[in-house]
Amino acid sequence: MISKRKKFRDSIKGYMFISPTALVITVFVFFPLIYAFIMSFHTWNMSSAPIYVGLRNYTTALKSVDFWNSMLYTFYYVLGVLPFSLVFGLFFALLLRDNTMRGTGIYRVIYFMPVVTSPIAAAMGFNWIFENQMGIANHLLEKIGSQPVSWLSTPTGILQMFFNNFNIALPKVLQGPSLTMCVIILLGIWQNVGYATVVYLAGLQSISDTYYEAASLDGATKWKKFWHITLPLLSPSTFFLLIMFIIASFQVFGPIQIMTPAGGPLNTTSVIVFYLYRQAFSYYNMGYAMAVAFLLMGFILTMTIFQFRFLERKVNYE
Amino acid sequence: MKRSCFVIFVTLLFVATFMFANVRLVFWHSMADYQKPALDKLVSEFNSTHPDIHVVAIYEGNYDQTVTKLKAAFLSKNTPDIVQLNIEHLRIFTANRQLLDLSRFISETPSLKSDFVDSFWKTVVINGKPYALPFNISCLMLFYNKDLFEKAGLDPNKPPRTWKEMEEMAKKLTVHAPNGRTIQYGLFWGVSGEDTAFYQFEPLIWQNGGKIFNSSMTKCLVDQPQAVGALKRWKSWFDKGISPANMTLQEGIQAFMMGKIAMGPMTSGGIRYALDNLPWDLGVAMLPSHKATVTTLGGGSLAILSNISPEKQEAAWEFIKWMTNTKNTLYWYENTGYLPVRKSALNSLQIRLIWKKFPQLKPAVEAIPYARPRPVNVDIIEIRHILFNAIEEVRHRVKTPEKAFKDAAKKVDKILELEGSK
Repeated sequence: MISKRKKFRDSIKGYMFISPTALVITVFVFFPLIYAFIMSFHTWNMSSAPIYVGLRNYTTALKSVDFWNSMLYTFYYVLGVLPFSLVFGLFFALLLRDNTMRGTGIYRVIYFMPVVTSPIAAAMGFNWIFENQMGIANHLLEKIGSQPVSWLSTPTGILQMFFNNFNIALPKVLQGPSLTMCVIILLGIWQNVGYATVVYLAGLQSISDTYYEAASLDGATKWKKFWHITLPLLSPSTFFLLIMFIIASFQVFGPIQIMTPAGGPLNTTSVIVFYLYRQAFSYYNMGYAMAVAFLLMGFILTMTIFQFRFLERKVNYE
Repeated sequence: MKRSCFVIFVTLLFVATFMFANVRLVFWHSMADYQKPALDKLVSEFNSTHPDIHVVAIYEGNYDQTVTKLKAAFLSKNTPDIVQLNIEHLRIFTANRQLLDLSRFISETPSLKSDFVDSFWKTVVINGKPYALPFNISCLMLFYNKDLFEKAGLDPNKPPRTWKEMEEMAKKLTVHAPNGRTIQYGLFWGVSGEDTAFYQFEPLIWQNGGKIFNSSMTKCLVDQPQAVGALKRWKSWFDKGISPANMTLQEGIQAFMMGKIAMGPMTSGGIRYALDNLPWDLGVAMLPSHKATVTTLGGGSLAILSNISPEKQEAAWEFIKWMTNTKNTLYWYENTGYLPVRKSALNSLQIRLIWKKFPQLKPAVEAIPYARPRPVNVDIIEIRHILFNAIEEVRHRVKTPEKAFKDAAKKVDKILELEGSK
């Protein structure tokens, strides 16, 4: 009896400790979430009273060409940003791992700089670089004698551009991200690499030297050491980055809004969150936008569960 | 001693201002960059001449963003008292009675209504009731680079008057490098895709004798031959190589400012900015005409919100009336290029002095009789984005003009239909 009361008193203490956080999360996360979920079954323009429409918003979204195009462009972004961020992050981490090298600290700061740069400022900087008339990119192209490229207004997919040389027209899904989207992907990679580098550096430092010594005694080459020791023991870091980057990439918005405020050439940079934002805050189709948001949430959730189920098995925890 | 006296005096003055300024009004506006100083000057002058009213002017982003913020403000019950709204956005708020019907005030001063330029006044009247006062009205003008005209052997004082003349001049104004690359374009008829989307394309349809909607706003008419014809003509400027096909609007404006493009349509609200900042000689002219002579009338108005106290309503009315009076509308015109909204201002002697100083401001006033307000309805922002995407599909050669406008009209009709059922 006494132990039960003590337990109760203990749990009261615990609840009191978490209550400030719980309150903030309830007000700013759970309440809006529930409210948005209810609104996603209504049509609402923020001014008139909401009208219940059942599942219409969801069916309209799933039937809309623009919605699926936005999904496709989001996939392009994720598939463009993810592998390069991981590979370059690992590459720079391997270069910077040596603590005895002079100036490692400075290099680490330099590579981490893009991460702490405001995405808005970075996007504006990229806009200047790739501007048609005064951009550095085109200036350099002209210096080496080639034609300037309209980076920010070319809607053709880059794979289609390549296949244009052979006069082959690809189906829409295979055309690849537009050139403008590639510039935005480049910005995404530039901002992610520093973060990946730091995470990989931490991962590398936790790998014990004994493995490498043992491998050296067995006569393993540098490549073999990397492939059989470094990479597998880094897999927790890779898994963490994979999940973080996929979630963040699906939600990309800032750079798109700054670099292509009208949705890019032929809307080819209109990723799903941009589409959602337009529906909500330009067209005031609030209910519809919230339905799209929940579809996106469902999607990210499925992806993440899939990753935990199937990829986590391959992760080596030391 | 002297100093402390002074400090006490200033403090007292400060306190006094706040005590007597018994009505405090919050005014949201969309005037950025070069227009903001002129607006701030007007507001501070109002505050110093009206000790019992204090207006606080706050910039809220462009017109579209102001709509979003105002909608959100209504939800959180934290609205301003006066707001500058694009004349095309008034309906979004009158539909839910969120703006104050100004009929009562107007009837108190009958001479006021008749002094506003008639075509401007019509833009603020919805279902027979005025909901705002026209404040910063502009029309689309043709901006051209006089220096480039001279270089090409054209008379810089004779801008093109028809589409045909414009095409011929643009051809002469297009310059190629020895390697065949175009280094200067004659024309860039850029169309905006975000705030005030489709703005620059509407006059082309009207000039070609077409319409964008039927008169009851229930059907989109861009699939009709006149509108499609305008789109074809616009496309031909890119095909002929006299217009750059691969520039965003921003890049096009940049190139125009750098003297790499000779002509283009711009709003009269930017004339003063252009005069102050362009290193070359600017010419401003009426848009070239085709079957009809017409340009777009756009811009903003000052509205009062309906949920404020009668005392505040009186003060707010005083403010918007003052902002649009003859003297201030002329000041506003001279410092921005937005048109004077009062007939008495148009007929004044002062306006001639302004023209002497800035002759480029005159053509905009002469264009007033030809300026047509843009068609509006509640979903206009979404509709304009659809129409803008259609012409982009043509520019990027994804669709033919016929197909692009046919598809767009279908989409727009669907929105209009849903609206009718709401």
